[in-house]
Amino acid sequence: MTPFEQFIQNFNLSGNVFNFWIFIKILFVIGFALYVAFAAIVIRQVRIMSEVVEGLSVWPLRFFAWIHLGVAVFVLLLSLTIL
Amino acid sequence: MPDIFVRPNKKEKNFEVDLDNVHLTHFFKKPFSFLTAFAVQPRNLHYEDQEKEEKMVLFLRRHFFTNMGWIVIAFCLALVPIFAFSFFSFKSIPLSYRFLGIVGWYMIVFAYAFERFLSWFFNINIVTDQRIIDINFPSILYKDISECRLENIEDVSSKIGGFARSFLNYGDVLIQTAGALPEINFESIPFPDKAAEIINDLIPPGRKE
Repeated sequence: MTPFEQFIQNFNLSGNVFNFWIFIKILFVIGFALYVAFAAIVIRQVRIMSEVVEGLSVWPLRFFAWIHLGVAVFVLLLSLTIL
Repeated sequence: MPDIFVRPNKKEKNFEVDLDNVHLTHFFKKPFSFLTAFAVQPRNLHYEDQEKEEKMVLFLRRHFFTNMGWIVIAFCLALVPIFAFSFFSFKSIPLSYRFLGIVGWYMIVFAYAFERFLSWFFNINIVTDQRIIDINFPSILYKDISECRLENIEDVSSKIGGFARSFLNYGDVLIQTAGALPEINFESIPFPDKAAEIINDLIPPGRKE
């Protein structure tokens, strides 16, 4: 058994009080939720930035920003489902 | 006595967009594209506070080569999971956690690369026939716009230094002003000498020595 596996085993032995993987799941969900907020800010910023100079072809950036937000939401939901 | 040679008096020149004295090769007159970093009199571009009679003369961004640093970093970061799974065994971690860990890693790498690209794309320098504008987005949450009217420009100089800059012909244009901002710096723009030449040509005659 590797030291890392021993470390996890020690946590699981005291599973009634504290479950290591529940803790990790919470961290994952918080991380992905923050990422969704970041992706939403990116969309807003792309819109604000593109208003400064009109005429720039920003549709690829808007497209990627929305895809980015969509993937972030999907991964957040996935983390709530499969973890 | 007839005059053999009369020196042209530049001070009599009207203050208007006059690029005839600037030698622009075919390269400078290429149509504006998504990644353009140097455009002379770009069509269909409009600055948010641009006045009706104001004409955009120069559109500048940092040279695309300045993106190479973050492109290399993003590429190396993208390879990290491949090497990590080659050298270490993560079998003690449940498959779902491993999968979402990798997905999360690549999302962070994408966010880093996208944010850096946006920073490059929207850090723009504009020269009109009335003023110069420096638009900076130091990070995704900050916007910094500084501008200076042409009559307040005191000196324009260009600087190229270093191997990559000399090889690819990009550098800084330093504009010293008499306004609130002591100087405006156009960083790492392509053809800084041409940009400086054009800006000098636009300065009202009364300001030129």
